[in-house]
Amino acid sequence: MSEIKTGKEIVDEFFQEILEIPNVDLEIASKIKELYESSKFTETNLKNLLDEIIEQKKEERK
Amino acid sequence: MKIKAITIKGFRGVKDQFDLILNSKSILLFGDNGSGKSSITDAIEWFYYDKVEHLSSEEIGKGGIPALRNIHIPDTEESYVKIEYTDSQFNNSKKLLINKKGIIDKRFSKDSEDFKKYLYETEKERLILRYSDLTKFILSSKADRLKDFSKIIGFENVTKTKELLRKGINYINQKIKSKNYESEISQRERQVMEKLDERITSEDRFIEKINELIQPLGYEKIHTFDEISNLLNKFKQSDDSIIIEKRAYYEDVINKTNDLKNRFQNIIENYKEYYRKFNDLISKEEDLKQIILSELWKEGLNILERGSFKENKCPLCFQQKSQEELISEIRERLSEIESLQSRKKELEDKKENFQEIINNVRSIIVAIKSNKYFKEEENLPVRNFIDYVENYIKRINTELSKDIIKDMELRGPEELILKEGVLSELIDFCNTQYGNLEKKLKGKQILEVQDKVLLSYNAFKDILDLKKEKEILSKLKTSLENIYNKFIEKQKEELEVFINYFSQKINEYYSYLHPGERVNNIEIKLIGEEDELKGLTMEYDFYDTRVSPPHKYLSESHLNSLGIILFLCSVEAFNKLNKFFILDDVISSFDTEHRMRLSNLLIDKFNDYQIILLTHERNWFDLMKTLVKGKSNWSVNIIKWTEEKGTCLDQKPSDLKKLIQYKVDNNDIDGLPNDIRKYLENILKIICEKLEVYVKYRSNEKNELRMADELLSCLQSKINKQPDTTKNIITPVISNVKSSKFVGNRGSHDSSFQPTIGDCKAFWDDITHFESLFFCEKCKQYISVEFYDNVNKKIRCKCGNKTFDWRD
Repeated sequence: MSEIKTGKEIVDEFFQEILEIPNVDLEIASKIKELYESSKFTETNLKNLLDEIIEQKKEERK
Repeated sequence: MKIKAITIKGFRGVKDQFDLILNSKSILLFGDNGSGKSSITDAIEWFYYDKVEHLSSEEIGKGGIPALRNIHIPDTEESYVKIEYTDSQFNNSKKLLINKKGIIDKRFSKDSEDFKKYLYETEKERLILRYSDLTKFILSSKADRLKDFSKIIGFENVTKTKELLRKGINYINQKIKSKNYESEISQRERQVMEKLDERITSEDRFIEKINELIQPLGYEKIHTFDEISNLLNKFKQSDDSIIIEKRAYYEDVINKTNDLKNRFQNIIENYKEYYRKFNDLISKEEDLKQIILSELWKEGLNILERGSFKENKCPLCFQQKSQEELISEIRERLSEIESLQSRKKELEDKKENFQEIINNVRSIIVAIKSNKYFKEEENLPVRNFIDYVENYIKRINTELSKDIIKDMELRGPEELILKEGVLSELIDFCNTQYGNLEKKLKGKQILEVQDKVLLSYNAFKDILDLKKEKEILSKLKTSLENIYNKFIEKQKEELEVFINYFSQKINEYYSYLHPGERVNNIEIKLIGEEDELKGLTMEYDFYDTRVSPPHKYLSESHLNSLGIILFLCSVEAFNKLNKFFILDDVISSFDTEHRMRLSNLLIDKFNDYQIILLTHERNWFDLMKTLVKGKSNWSVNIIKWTEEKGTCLDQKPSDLKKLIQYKVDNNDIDGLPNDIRKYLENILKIICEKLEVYVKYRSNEKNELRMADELLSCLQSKINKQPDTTKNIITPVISNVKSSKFVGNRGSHDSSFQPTIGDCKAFWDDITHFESLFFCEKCKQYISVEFYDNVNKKIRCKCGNKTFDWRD
């Protein structure tokens, strides 16, 4: 039987493994991970991060 | 690890310092409603989690922190929670401070890495179960129950993370929808086709086509897309370059106006839908008003659930009604307006989406205005058009900013239709200008080529940018969706592990609480629809028939049991560091029989744990008190509230003595001088009463306010009249107490003299020596004139072990 985990353990573990999820842009995954690990994973911060990623990617392609 | 002591000061209901000495024992605490029992739970919750969930409403915000300081203490006074553990390296005190700007701040007195790690690990454990958590679980709908179940077993983090990831996907979806990439790209493809007579799909082909155009002019071939801008600069050097630029401007305005046509159509369609939804909601005016009331109900429910008001009547209209009925009725009302609220939320989402469409129109307007030819005199019709469009958007925005509850009325879509011909008039104007400029061209071949290159280049560049942007958003969306799906998968997997792991324990504890009740094989089931986990239900054999959900056949008392069992199972599974937990008023909907069983379950099965058990139920307190009587790992106390101290323990002198001894043993000087002074006053009152020491008359409560000085002087006067054998023993001890009492007086008031722990220990030794003269440890009684021996002229304690020569 798998080991039982607390909610926090589950979320911690998920973010530790987020870079290994198939078909996920590594940069996006690692920025979301960073947000979580710095205890700043909120709706506003996530939206700001997504906007920032979009702008950055647009700049990169110019 | 267990708790040795909790000290709270200036926090919630606690005004003066509140010491709860546990010495690793469990404690049963009784307190009437309003006595501030939950201040203890709040203090522990804040100490560990930096928030108090039930205070974290929108009004209070910031994790309830603004509501934490006791309102009766001045800003300069400290507010703190201190916890001492069996492993003293983790002892710490968390202060709630107000800085000079009036902002609340918090700080641990020790900030070691070990302590940080301890806090981090504790976040994974289950320490607190409140009555409100249980009632929510019992009365919630199946979707909410997953949330409430998650809260009981500590899965809130999981639910919150899932919701956030979902919001991220919605955010990107909304962006993609509002940009309308397909239509934007095909419009620009048409422009390229018009100029180059070919449908061009690749950058390479575009470059080839440009090279074909410039070849007859003898210009050098271009090899990359970026080189086209150099080519355009070359064209600029020609005499007709201004004419070409202006033609390009008019063509651009024409294209943008055509684009706006579609967007305005989109705005009108969206407005019609918004208007319909708005009016649909308004038609339920009475229900809408209930949305405002729902905030009041939610707050009321919150108050009832956390047990701040427990009388059997409505706190607003005072109509007689049981607590259970009241809670159930409010929940029912809230559930009735739930669908209305979700439609209101839909309307708000629609508005947000609408704003994105309007923002896109605004960017087009900005692009037209930013061109250097916009301000030229001849372009007045363009400026008039822009004024009109800006005004139009303003009108739409005015409608969108209306509050459905306050404003109740929107302009009809017919009032917001775009003035007929406004777009075509501008297009006609631009076409005329474009044609007139053509006539001014000197007819050279170079200018025709320049015209084609510039306009097709601008359109093709836009196509490339739009495609790139679309690709970025699509990839982002895919990444977020894959993250989200993986999370859902993990959540489901882990919840199933939890449920399978505990099914046996749940049944065991349930049978313990409800033996022979024909409820067997309880199973918690997850309800999943498509790829998402939607809710939770329970199945069980009820009189040998498999039934679900629990509300159908089980009473609140049974559901309450299930909630407590889930929590206890989580404690057993997750509490690896902390061997303690707090149950705050969790038995309110239990009947007498089940209260008894719950008491036994806690005492039998959780004997290894330190339990802080809070209750306002006098009968259960009395029952539990009987059950733990004589058990060395349990203590019992009563909490009360006074205006002077706020929440405090109903402290007997013996409790105060234990507290002082604890502080002396642990070199804890915090409040110690004052505690010893209070203890001295308490025992002096008893001794003076027992020895019939006469003091000056004072009326009523002033009689209780006698200070140690006065009592000691009167006692000394009485002793002075006694035989030398007695006088010689007692007088030096009274003198010592009089001298060292200085420590208590100075240490308990503002003074420049700060006693050391050594001073306090000496003071305490004098007091205990003084008490030992009059108190018999054998019969636990004070010497009293009541036991005066007329023959031997002695007074004594009850058993006669302690005596003094005495003159009557």
